[in-house]
Amino acid sequence: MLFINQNTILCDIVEDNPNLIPVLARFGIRLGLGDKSVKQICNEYDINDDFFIVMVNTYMNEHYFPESKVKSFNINDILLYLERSNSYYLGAMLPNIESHLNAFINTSRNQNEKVESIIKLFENFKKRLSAQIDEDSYFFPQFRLIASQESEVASIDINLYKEDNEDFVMLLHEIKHIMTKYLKGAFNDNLCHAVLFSLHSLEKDMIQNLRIRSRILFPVVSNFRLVK
Amino acid sequence: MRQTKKVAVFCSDTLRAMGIQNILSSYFSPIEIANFEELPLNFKDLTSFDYFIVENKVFCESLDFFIPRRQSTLILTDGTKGISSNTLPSFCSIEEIISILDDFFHTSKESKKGEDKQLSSREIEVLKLVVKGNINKEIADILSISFNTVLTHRKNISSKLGIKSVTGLTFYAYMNGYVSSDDIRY
Repeated sequence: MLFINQNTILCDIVEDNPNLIPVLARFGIRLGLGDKSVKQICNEYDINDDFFIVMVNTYMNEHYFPESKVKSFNINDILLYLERSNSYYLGAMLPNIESHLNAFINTSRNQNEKVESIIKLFENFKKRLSAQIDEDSYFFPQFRLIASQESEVASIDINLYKEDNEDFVMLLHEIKHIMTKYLKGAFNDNLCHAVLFSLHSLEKDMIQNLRIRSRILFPVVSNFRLVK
Repeated sequence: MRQTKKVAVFCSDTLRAMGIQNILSSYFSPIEIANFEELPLNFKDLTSFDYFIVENKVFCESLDFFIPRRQSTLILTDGTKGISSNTLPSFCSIEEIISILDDFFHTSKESKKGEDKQLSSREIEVLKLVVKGNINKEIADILSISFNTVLTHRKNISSKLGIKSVTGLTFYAYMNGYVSSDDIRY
């Protein structure tokens, strides 16, 4: 287990854990970190450092989830984090997977026409993910309103939001499973691996966000409803 | 999906218990670990566990419980070498500890024979119809079986293949030549 704190030199950690780069990106932190500590960087980018530290630590340590601490954060921070995750998925991770996938299919197509149908799996996942993101952009502003206590809760049904929230991760996992287990015939091995790696890092990221959704966001927003 | 092992650890020494927990989750996942400082009064709480790792003291106090489960019980000792099979000494190298645990998990339960994951010919028929875009009711009519039987087949197909989505099933059916590209309606 590796933990960061305010005084950690961020560069040292990121060098050994490049899978943190997507997390930094959604806080707007760019590479070229220099010798700056976590605190300095958070100040520079105007980020709540407590929040940043917990997000990074839970991201690095699958079994670490300081529930009470995370619950103490402002819901706006959490919503913003999830929104930025969504934009990062759409703007960076999906295009990245797509470019690997296209390269894989283009080089394998001549040897094996069936490989092309993997695209369908990915499209299906993308559709489900976009639906979730649309749902977020409908519900999040309402959560914000409720949090600032300017609105009544009764106008939205939280349960509707919670439904099927894990679907898209299941679909993503399924693509990995299918490719690992059921691919047949000739195809470009190297590019296939690249596709799998990129799917895997997206899945890992999404599982982390699911934990934030199910253990922090849902209890908090369900609570709104009870109070009113 | 590999099966998750459920392990109950009985150890009153927190550092030692955490050490065991750490080794187990690092090297033997997927695994679920519950830590008990002492034996619960009601043994029924323990029946859901597959394996037991216990301090010598606890083992001796509850022979009635552990003797019948000797094969799935590992006893913690203070030695440098395993005294007999199914003992885990504290003072040996991490390499030995891992190898003892590995043997323990492999030999204690005759590893469950991988159930038959091959689809039956009936299931393949159902799969083809699903992939061609038929709804369950239609499949029941075509194959002259009941609606519930269709559901059962579909459930079995998904659990054998580890694929739930229709798109995923379509890919599988196409990859294996059960349907041609013309058959597939997206």
